[in-house]
Amino acid sequence: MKALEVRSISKMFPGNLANDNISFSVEKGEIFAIVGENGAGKSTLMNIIYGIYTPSGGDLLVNEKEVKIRSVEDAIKLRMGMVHQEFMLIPRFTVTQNIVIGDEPHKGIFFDYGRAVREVRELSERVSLVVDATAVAGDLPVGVQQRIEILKVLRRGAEILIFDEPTAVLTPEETVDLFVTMRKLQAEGKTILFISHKLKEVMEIADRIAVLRRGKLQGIVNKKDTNEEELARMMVGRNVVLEIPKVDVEVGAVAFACHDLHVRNKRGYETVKGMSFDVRGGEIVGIAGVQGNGQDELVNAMIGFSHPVSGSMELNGKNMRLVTTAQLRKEGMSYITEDRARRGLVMPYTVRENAVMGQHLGRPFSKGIRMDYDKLAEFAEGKVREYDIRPGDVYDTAGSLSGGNQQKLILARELSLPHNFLIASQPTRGLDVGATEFVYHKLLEEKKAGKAILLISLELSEILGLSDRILVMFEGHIVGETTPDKTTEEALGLLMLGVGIDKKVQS
Amino acid sequence: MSESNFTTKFLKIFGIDNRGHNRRDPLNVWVPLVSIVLALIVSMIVIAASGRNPFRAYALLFGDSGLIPGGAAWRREFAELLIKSAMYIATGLSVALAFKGGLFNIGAEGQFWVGAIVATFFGYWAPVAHTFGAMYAALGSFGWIAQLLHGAICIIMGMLAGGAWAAVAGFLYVKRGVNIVIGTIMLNWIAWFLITSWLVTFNGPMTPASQTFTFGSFYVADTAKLLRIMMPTRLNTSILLVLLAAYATWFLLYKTTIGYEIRAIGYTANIGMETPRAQGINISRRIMQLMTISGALAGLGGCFFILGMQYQFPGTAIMGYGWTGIGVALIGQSEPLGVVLAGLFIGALRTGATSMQVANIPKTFSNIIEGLAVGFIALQVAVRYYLVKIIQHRRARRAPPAGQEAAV
Amino acid sequence: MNITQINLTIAQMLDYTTPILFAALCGVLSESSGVVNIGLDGIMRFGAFFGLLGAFFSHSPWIGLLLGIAIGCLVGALHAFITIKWNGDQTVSGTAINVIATGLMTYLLEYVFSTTGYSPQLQNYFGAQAYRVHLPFLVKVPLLGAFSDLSVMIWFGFICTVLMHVLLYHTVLGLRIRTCGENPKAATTLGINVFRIRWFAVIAGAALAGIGGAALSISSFSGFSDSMPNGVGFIGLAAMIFGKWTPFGALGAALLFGTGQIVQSLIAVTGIAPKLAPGLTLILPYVLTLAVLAGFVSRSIAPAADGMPYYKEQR
Repeated sequence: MKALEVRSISKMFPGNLANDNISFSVEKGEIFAIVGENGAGKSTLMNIIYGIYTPSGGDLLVNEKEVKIRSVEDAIKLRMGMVHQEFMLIPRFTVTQNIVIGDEPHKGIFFDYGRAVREVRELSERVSLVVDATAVAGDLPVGVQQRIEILKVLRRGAEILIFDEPTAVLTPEETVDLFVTMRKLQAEGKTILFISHKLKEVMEIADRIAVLRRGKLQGIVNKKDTNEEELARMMVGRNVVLEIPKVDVEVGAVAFACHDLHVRNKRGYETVKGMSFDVRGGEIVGIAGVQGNGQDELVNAMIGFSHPVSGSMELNGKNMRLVTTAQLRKEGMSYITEDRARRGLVMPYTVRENAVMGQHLGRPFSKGIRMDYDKLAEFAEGKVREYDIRPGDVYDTAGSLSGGNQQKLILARELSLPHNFLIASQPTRGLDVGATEFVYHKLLEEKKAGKAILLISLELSEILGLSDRILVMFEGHIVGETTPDKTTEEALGLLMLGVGIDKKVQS
Repeated sequence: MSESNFTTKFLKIFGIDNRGHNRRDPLNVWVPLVSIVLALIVSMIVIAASGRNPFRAYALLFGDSGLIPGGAAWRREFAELLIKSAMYIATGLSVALAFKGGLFNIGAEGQFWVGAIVATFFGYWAPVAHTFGAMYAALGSFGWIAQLLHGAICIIMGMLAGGAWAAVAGFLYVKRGVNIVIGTIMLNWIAWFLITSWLVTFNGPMTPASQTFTFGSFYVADTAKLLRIMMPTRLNTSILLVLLAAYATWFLLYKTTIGYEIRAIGYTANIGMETPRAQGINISRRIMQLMTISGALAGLGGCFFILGMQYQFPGTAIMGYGWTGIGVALIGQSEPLGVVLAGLFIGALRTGATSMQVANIPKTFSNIIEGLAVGFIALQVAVRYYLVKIIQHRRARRAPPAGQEAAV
Repeated sequence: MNITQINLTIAQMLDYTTPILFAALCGVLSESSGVVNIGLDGIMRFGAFFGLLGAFFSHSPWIGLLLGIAIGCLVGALHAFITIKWNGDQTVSGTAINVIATGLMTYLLEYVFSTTGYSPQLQNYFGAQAYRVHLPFLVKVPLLGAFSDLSVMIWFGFICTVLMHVLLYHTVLGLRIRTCGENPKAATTLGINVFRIRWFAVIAGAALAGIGGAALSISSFSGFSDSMPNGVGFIGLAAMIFGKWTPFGALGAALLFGTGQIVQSLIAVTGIAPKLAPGLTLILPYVLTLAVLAGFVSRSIAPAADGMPYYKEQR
């Protein structure tokens, strides 16, 4: 029997078709994996199934009956349970409290904590998920916290369990435990949906695998009929390759170098686990990797938002491990971000005001504390022309520009600051072909001017087209170093997804 | 064209050009206006519900508020209006400036009183008072210079004190993560009680030893009092000073690097301030500077209270100037010009409210109108929502339906 | 200083403590669900006046109390409407309530009683002997002697503290309230209606503030004074913070701050160091609160989602 069927499901967000006519079905007792790159639409699809979003089109069937899932309560009533990627736990509460909230055992209006603890212990034993029922959730390791999430959904009688990137935060040992749990649940007749981009694991645990790419369903395969390489190919696929001219520049001195860099993320986990590389003037070094493998934390360390736990970082030979962003910029760091709203621009500020941020102190834009807004306008107008930012009014707010024009504004600003080391983090995200070409053109100009450029991107064609050297980042390490002429998209894709790490692709 | 040339050049000296900083959203002006109108309407209902004549009440309120010229007492009322407004504008600027930087400085009240008490001190403190007293006598008909200088010293010290008081809250926020709202509220009361229960109580350090009924601190020297203008009313230079301060605030916000960075911080305050940080802006330093200047503005208001009106720190002082400043800043949408207008409006309400007593309405009724206006501004999401709906509705009625156009 | 004087002083201290306690409890409940309410000073003012109103015209303080509760609920509903339904800024809304309360109560005082400054005296109020809770067996007990003859509001305060503790930490509803204050997103995924729970917490809390205000006018004093509540609401806010957002913590803090309030009279009675600046004890609540907030490195004593508006379909 089909436990869950998805029929022609689509979801439209402003400016983005996240799910495009997706149809598949999942048999009862199956472990069904959904894989795809970031932005492929996996999370959106799961949120639709779980009632957090309503689909723009299509139907859902549970146990072969058509249903309308408009809220999380509806989903729970249909015996679905979701274990989110971001845990929905209250760190201050105990394990038991976290598990039973919303379905508390009670004597009248009173919360029967004793019985709750007993019930949690019983459940925990029954499904062999060991937890300390009275421990404080916030003190527990991540693997155990995830078990709490699983127990939460099981308690509500979930027959269909949805796991959203469950292994993203687990250690290898915890992952093994998780898979043991999943097999046990399967043996009990539960159906499991499993979202991941870690192909190795998917191949280990899943029965069938669906591949999503750019919102569309690429295909469904049986595990025994496929392998990691084929999955990677389906995930990565062929993008429209832009003609990027080859530019040869003589490589200069080392601008940026880091050695055995370790960086922690906001939760305190190390996500950069000993990276060493350098970038020289006149070269573009591309870091390829799936989102979530430590790139964000690496960038944070490089721009001074966080300090590395250990390891060294040097800009132009000077030690830059414990400095502020302002000092890094003074030393010549420029940064193009993909997070335009939070990091790139001040959206309510006009084009005029955004264009000079970073060099607004000092001449020619200010004398002492007095700022010359006319000079700002002049400068901005020049940049608007140079970068073809539309519409061309420097008094428009940055927020009113399209994504592509916002990115151009960021570029204009960053490239006009005196710098010799440029960090370009996903510089063409959300841009159309024309804007993307423009960005590439500018980056190559920078290269010709002898700047050292570090390009971090999720688009392999971009990496291959622009980089002189390519580093592949996986789980906080550099797992491969090569050059564009010595590798292919598929090879890179495999490395990015952790396939065949043992055999490094040597340059 | 040519006649605008001179004016344009003249204004440019002060940095005023007609190049706006943003595409102004007309709703920004409508929201406070609508809030005020709604507040007035609701207040009318309250008056009517209590059996009094709202129209007569409002006629008295606005007629005697000093806003409407004509009538025998207008000069005096106008003077009162300006005297009161000066203080409200000062605290309003204080709160507005902090808002621009993303901070909710509720401490304008405490900073106001700290400024007041320090100004009082330098107004009567023997070494200072005697020096200027002597200078005044020596200068003869130029004695007003001594007054200017003494007043200036009191004001500067008062502003520094207010700024320092605010800086404490800023420091606690920046270095120890103490929420600005809570921090400033606590400091309000600390300042208030320190002043009213210690410094200015019977036999307190700042009160004369022998006092009978009316009490308060020492009186400030004559040379410390703000100069009178527009005799024979009580009007003093405070209104001029505060307009200068408003201009300076505007200049700070829109013509200096400090203001540029502060506004960038304020715009991104809700999303983590990462953009200014990524551009190397020193957020902690700017926040400290912001709080200090904000406190200084509130302290200026306190100086007006003492040096312009009371000439001593009265034992009968009651809180309210800082709280009103919050309302003024909200109604003025945190823009210096808006704050001036809002301050004048509230000043008018307070001035006219005294006359409302003739209609049997207590003079604190203006608080109700004010509070309601603030309440409606709190609801500004709702107000905007409905305003937008109304605008869309009217546009839809004026434009021909799309189908007809296509058919042609 | 003899036993009677000590008992009297303690009784007076408890009298000061009660409105602080109610204000603090209001804050605890409201902020436990994630909604900040700095308007509780204004709500107390509403409660003080309307409590007096009810007691005056019905000659029964109980009616006054009921009216105080009712007006608290009403104003609380307003705050909830602005902050929960329309996601209005919680601080601005609270400020609006404070400002309206200042003007409106003065207006009503004049309108109803044709006086300014003080309302007419109440003959029948909780402070009167007829309404006190008499526990004669305690008279001989040292220290506890103070508890032998207290206003019913004080006992009510203790009971509310216990009830709130039980509510928050032993009932299903309490657990859900706290969940909304910690992680409203998680609460939603568990099927909890965050909006409804917050409405409840805000209104119930405001009712408590209303009681606190009524306690001032119909228990501690026998009438409404136009300066009520004299900033007591903010001391309550401080007590809530100092008590780490828990009911018993609030009680302890309120007792501490209540003691500070009457230190003057203590000094007068015992004759200790009249030179000790009296203002120092009055500022104690605020200084202590700042010290507590500044001293904790991890600011995790407040409910995690306190003060943050919650939008549905947050991504």
